[in-house]
Amino acid sequence: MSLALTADGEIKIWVERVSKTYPRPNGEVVTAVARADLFVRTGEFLVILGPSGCGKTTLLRILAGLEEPTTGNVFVDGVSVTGPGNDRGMVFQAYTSFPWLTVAENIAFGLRLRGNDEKEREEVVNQYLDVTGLLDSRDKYPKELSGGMKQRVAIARTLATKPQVLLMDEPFGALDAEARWRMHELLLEIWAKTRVTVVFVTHDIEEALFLADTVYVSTARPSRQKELLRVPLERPRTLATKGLQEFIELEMDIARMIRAEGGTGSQRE
Amino acid sequence: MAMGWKRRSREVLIVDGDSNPDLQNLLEEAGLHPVHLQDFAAAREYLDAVVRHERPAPVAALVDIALAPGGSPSPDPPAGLRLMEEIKTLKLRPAIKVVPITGSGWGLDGSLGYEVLRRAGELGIVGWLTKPVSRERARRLARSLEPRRIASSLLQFNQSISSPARRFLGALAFVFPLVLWSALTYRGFVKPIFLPPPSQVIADLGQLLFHEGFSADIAASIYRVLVAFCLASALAAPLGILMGSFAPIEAFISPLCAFFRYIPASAFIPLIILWLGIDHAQKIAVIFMGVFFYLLVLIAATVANVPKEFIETAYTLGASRRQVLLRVVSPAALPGILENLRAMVGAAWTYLIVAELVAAQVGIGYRILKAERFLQTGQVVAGILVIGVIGILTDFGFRALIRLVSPWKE
Repeated sequence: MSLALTADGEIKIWVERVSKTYPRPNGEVVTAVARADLFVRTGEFLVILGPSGCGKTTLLRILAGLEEPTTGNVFVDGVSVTGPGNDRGMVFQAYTSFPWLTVAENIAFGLRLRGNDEKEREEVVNQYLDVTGLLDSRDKYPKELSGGMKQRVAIARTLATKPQVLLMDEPFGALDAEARWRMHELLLEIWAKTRVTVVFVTHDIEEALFLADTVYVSTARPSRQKELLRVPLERPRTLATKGLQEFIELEMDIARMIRAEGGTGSQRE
Repeated sequence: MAMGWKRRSREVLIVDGDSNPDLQNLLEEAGLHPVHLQDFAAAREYLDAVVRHERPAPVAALVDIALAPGGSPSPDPPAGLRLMEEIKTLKLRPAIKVVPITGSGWGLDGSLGYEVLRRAGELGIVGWLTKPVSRERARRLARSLEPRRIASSLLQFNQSISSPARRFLGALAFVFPLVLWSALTYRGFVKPIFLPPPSQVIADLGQLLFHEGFSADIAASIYRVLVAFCLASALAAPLGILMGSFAPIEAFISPLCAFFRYIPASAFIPLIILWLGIDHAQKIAVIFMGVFFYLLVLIAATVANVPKEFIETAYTLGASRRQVLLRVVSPAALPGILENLRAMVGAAWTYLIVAELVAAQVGIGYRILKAERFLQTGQVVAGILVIGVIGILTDFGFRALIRLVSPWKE
């Protein structure tokens, strides 16, 4: 793998002291995200890891521009995010392949919005059908697809618009273990080819370690200090990676980190 | 329905070298008629008689696998298994169910009992027995031999139904009112002046159609409904999509819409006559008033149910608000909107008749009213039936349209 992911990479995203609070009807204020502050480098695979309710999805939605931060700022390529756009593609946990479009039409959706030339569009669609292994299903409707295939459609559709950043909100959460592992390998393959910057949200430690260059560990208490953990595992990673002693030790470290009150990570860079 | 209902057979063959009074008693208790046969030859004789229709076909045959060969020279396959094979090749309907029995256990891999059970399994068996047979086991076997109870297989939750079955049941439902109507009228329970018999109504319908220009009335009514309904749909669809999509628009229109929805459309008739006269325009306006506001609420609710992830995904793919509305919300809601239209087109006919009962010179409703004045009850009924037929055809049309525009629906 040719991706050199070092701190020298250019800053792609800067989440600058972002907080998000919601008022409750009874006047109470709920804090979903508190002073999140992190950099994502160009081409990096960053995983935001944390239990449900830690505000990780909210943070991702703020990155996507679907929600506004209460305080703070998000910069992508040095420009403040003011709303959703196709420079930041998003894949959701819920199946969002449009049921009224075929697989190929779904993938072409973003390109069609821009009014790309028909021939060019066809080319890009075929390319991503190929990359995601969907060539045989190009004319099927999503109702005929398995969950894993639906998510492949969603990924292909997002990548077809050539986003700078790929945001993924527990995209494989609804898949069974085997399908999820296959999708991990596929995603890393695609990532290596496209060199897109990925921000991936999950609560699954194994998933986080397998995919990430860097894991941003969030805890259930949003106010607590976050841990940024560099994953030293070699690439390309395969199924065998999950069996490495190193992998299992890292997994245990993170599990302790999440569980322990005020735990400090030993792997901190 | 006298055809083809055979007596449900209760005979159960027990083909076993030893007689088995306990098992026989248990089966009898369970409501079956056990027939004990000594050996292979006796069983074959019995089955030949069944094929010749000289004996009732048994529901099942319980066959001891250690059956005496009964004249068969080779021990392989064992006589019990061979008998089960022969039973399976009989072309009887319903097929005789087969149950192997053993007195010495089925054994493990490689033993004779095991091998026979495997091969019997390939033939298709409904179970097996090990002697001695317990009361509970015999009862369960007897239950498994019963044909599936019709009621339990006919009505199931989340059941799918084939289209021929759907059509058959749909048509069947018409038989009941028709039979009731015929019985009441032909038997003279009801005087023709209140309800004429079906034949009279058909004759009156012919009279109306071929001698009194009824087709012009039908055409006028269809025209009015069509224009009013298309107008209401064409306005309610875009407005409903906007209401379902954007809360401020919904907040603005909803209360006003509720206000009009609760006023019966017929209450507007005097005003509408004042403004539009008594021509087509007046009827169309009444139908429109009756349908439009309901349609608006239904469509807005359908659109509000479009998953928000679809909308957010489209935004992150670079769609503008307008593109989201046209390329995501509208196609996602289309089948639902057509269902809404299908539900409301019936209401359009209701208001048509209301409109045509007042100040009309043509139309189905007008004809019905006129026929009533002259006590032509047959014509009244004929008019009503025509509306029903148009309604059912419209419904079929909408169903076909929905299937056509949304082949992607689950």
